[in-house]
Amino acid sequence: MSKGKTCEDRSGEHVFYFVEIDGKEYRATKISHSARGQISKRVLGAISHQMRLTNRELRQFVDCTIDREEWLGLWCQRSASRRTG
Amino acid sequence: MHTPTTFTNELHASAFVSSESIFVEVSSGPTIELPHQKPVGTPNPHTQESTTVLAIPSREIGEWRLKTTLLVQLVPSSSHEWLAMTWLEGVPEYGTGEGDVEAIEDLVASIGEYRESLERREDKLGESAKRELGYVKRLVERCV
Repeated sequence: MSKGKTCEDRSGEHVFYFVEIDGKEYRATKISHSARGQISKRVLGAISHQMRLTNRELRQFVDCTIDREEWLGLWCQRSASRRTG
Repeated sequence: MHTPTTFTNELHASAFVSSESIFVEVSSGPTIELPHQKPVGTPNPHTQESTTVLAIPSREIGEWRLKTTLLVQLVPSSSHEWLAMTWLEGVPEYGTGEGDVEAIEDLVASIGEYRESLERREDKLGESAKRELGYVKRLVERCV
């Protein structure tokens, strides 16, 4: 998540990542402190959805073929269509 | 003229009452008629997957108190992990655990910690995050 320049909240058992868009913060995703090893397909799907990405786009984001600006562009586009932005 | 093909819609659901689970199966859903489609020459996969939806009534779970009923989708995530998932204002929230009960406990703790995390930055939140905060405030609180 460092690639997305997110802000971490590690106060509890779960780590929440917040992203700033136009001066406002939104939760990007979260992982468990105890998370170890490979992430299952279903958890990956939930993380993708939280980040307003498809599973393929999330992999591209991890592989750096989608950068932060592209991600935030997709976020705003999809948030607007879902009225959650 | 297309010949309609008939399918029967099936729904599996279960309800959660106190510490016991009651399995409810509905197998007589409405009939769906689809127009006949020409075969495309590739096998049509018939993957069937059952999912369990629990309605967890307000109760204390670990350090947290559910203030209202929480609908949770419960599915095996891998051979050694369960996934409990719900939706907060259109955004999925999940918990994981070695068993279904652990996954639900993790989900509720995650929602509670999310509430506190949002409250710590309330003045900086965007509109959708504010809506999520309002929702989780109505949903869960820390046991005193």
